[in-house]
Amino acid sequence: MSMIESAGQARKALPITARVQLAMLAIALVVAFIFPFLASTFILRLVTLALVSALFAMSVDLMAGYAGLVSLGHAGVLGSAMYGVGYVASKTDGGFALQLLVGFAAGIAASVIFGLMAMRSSGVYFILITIAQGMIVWGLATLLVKITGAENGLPGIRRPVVVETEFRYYFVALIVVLVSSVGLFIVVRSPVGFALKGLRESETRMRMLGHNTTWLKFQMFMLSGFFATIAGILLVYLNEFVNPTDVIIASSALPVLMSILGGIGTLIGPFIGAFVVVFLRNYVSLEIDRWQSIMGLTFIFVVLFARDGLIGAVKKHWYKYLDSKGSGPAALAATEMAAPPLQSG
Amino acid sequence: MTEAAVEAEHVVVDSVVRDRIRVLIITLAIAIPLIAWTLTQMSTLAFFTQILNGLSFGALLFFLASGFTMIFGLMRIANLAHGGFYLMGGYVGITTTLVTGQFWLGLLAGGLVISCLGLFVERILLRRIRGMEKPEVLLTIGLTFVIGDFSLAVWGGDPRQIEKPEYLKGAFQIGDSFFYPKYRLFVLALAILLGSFLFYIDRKTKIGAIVRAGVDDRETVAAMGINIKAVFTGAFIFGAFIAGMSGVIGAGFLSLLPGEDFVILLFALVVVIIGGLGSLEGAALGAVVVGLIDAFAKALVPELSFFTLFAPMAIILMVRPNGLLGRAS
Amino acid sequence: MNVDDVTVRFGGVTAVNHVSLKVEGGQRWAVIGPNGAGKTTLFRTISGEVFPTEGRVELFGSDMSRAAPYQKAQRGVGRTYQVTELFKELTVEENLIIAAQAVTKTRFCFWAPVRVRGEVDEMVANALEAVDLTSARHTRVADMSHGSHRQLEIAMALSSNPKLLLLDEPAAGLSSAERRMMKGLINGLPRDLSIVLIEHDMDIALDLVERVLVLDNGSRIAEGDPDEIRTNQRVQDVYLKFD
Ligand SMILES: Nc1ncnc2c1ncn2[C@@H]1O[C@H](COP(=O)(O)OP(=O)(O)OP(=O)(O)O)[C@@H](O)[C@H]1O
Ligand SMILES: [Mg+2]
Repeated sequence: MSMIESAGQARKALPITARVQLAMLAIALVVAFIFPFLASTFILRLVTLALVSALFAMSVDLMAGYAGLVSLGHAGVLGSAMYGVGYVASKTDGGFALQLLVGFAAGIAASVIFGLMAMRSSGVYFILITIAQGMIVWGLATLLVKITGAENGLPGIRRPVVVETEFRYYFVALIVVLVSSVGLFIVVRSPVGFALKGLRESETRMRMLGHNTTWLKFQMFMLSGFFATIAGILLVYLNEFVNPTDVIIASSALPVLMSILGGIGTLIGPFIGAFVVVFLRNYVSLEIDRWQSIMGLTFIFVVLFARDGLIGAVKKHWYKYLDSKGSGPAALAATEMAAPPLQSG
Repeated sequence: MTEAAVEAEHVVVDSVVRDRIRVLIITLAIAIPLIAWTLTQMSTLAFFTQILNGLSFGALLFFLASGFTMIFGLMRIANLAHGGFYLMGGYVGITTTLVTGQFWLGLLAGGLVISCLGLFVERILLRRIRGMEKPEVLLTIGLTFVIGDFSLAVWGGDPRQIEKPEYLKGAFQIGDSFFYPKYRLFVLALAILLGSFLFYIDRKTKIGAIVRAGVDDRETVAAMGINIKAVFTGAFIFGAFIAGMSGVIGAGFLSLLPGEDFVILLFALVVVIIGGLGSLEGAALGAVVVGLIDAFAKALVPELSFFTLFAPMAIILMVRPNGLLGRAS
Repeated sequence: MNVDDVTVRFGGVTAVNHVSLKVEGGQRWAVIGPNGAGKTTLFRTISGEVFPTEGRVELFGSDMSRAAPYQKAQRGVGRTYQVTELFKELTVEENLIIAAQAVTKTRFCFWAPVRVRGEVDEMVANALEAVDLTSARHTRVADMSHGSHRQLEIAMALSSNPKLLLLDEPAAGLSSAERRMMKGLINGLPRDLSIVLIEHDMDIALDLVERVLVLDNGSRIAEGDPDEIRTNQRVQDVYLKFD
């Protein structure tokens, strides 16, 4: 088979996958806008939580999956935004606009500080530093009684009246998460998104190519922190409450688990993972009160046996199916390999 | 030795010395103003009490951090389950002491039970993902959740302490008016003992040489006829042993309760981040620094006592991303 | 580029010992020498991965002895590796995009897709053409042969439009047919590009360049045009001893 023919096949094979993806996306959107009219408040709340968790997980996956820099302290950013909103709402008489402003400022400030601290490290060191960052936010949350209310948290946070009901708040969350997802989609396909992928593969090589990787990592922190901040603001108005359990290490580990479970290094992976984890948590916790163990065991299981996640598994079978029809990547790669590596130069 | 070799040797020593001097300057630049300020805030006697508090807490941190750093130096695994090992080891020790009435048996039991757990973790779980840095870390954090929850199920959620033997109770008198808890001094002594032992291993034995040679030379090590797998397992078990034991020791002057696993892990992490991952001296230095900072912070600005860890860590990471004594990677 | 009396030591090992190398614009140099002679270390000094213990590295008229690798790459130094270092999980095109955008303003852009940026696209297309890999554009690097990896290495260095190209044994591990192709490929590179080439194979090295530097044990043992080197007694001694 000649080069030209196989290239033509590659062009034909992609639309099948793309068409299926588009169709599924369309169905998901339709369902997302119709089902609230049919579902109970309880389910609606859960789905809202899953949506917000999905945004948070995607922001973590931008670092963990795309850049290969796993943060186990990102709840520090999410939580800072939550506490920012909560402080204004609970301890002052500031209105909604001020709450948003302070929440945003707190989340971004946390991202800046975290980024400055971690931008020169990588690999395991990066993980350890981010754990410490997240834990220190937790420490402040439990100790700064006057600001955070310690274990009692900050009560008295209220959604604006127009979106007071669960039903309406669902749509707020849905739209914000969708817009943010588009934003993330643009980021991962931008030059910076490509550079992050390069960072995942080899940081030294990136530097040799002329990339200032320190700055790149800071930029990554800011981008990821921006979306985590949005998630934090959505979450605090969903719960109308914030306390130190929002910033414990488990809250930082969950988005990582969601990402791996769904498929790390993709955007849809964390999204699916978030829904699985949120529903699993809710229904299993009803049966047995051992969520921490289940989470830990899921972590271990996924890390040992399913590092590619659900998306990875689906992809594998889909490509196998395409290959069986002679238009999958393996079939195409075989024809590439057959071509001489060096043609007349 | 040829002239060139002598000169080269000179250059190496020179650069190491210069590096150490730089570390010293950073440390002093942070420490001196702090100490001066502290002395204006409290009496000399209180100051020395806090120094001892800091050193004894630092001693406990050294138990954890040295095991952590050793496992990392040898196997490149950052074992986050160290916090869980600490907590569960402490609980096992408390129960054993309660049943037998023997503090030392509790200490031993805490160490041994956690060693068995360590053996299982290394052999059955970690070996499957050997060499994959990030999955290894994530597995150990998952493990910590399981251990924490298991401990909660077995030992409940109330703060627990261990029953100390008579001769470690009460205070030790120095001079006329200075009293200090015997138990904390005992912890300090134990840490110095362990530290000397580890430094001996690090400097004088083959295993120490392997640790210092680092990953790059793993093949060489295997070629030297050393069973590297056995060394790994042994080191992991040993690290687990001291982590479990340190839980029992910690239960003598701190309380054990759910969540403490991550708190102590945080302290241990800050120790190795400040000191430099994989370096035994780094662990010792970091433990002293963190212990002292924490003691004085708790005495002077209790609400900020976590934040006071953050600031020096941030500063040190900006000047030395690999920690004070870490190898540049 | 001007490497002025550079010495590099690693602990007790002196890898490069008082070596100077001055490359004029558009010149082609070869650095040859037996294993462990310090050739790669010399490259690493030029590209900024290691700093000289003594001496200076001047690039395009300014002293850059202590500049970070990314700064040197920004100024126009491209290099390839003796052992190929590519982003294995990405496609050929993605590799080149990452390489090309490193020297453009677009590298800070996170609000627009890569594709919209015409400049990078053009650089990538040129680099692909220069090494004849256009047809493998969408192949994952891990699925390609060693020969293609070598080609892509060069394309990566070319895609950022360097002024100075450092090639570290570009023909290592290739069959003799592939070697001939590689030779043609290097020969066909733009003439205004300065090239420094490390190569064990004297036949390849000496045919491609105007000037040769011979290192042994970190020190310069000869320098001259290819014909002088071919007949130089010391060079022959060194090569007989080691090969
Ligand atoms: N990072 C390092 N630390 C210690 N010694 C090193 C380091 N890098 C290189 N060396 C030593 O410096 C000397 C020169 O090595 P270099 O890689 O420059 O040789 P080379 O000429 O490229 O050899 P080859 O033909 O095998 O590629 C060798 O003796 C090597 O062992
Ligand atoms: Mg070399």
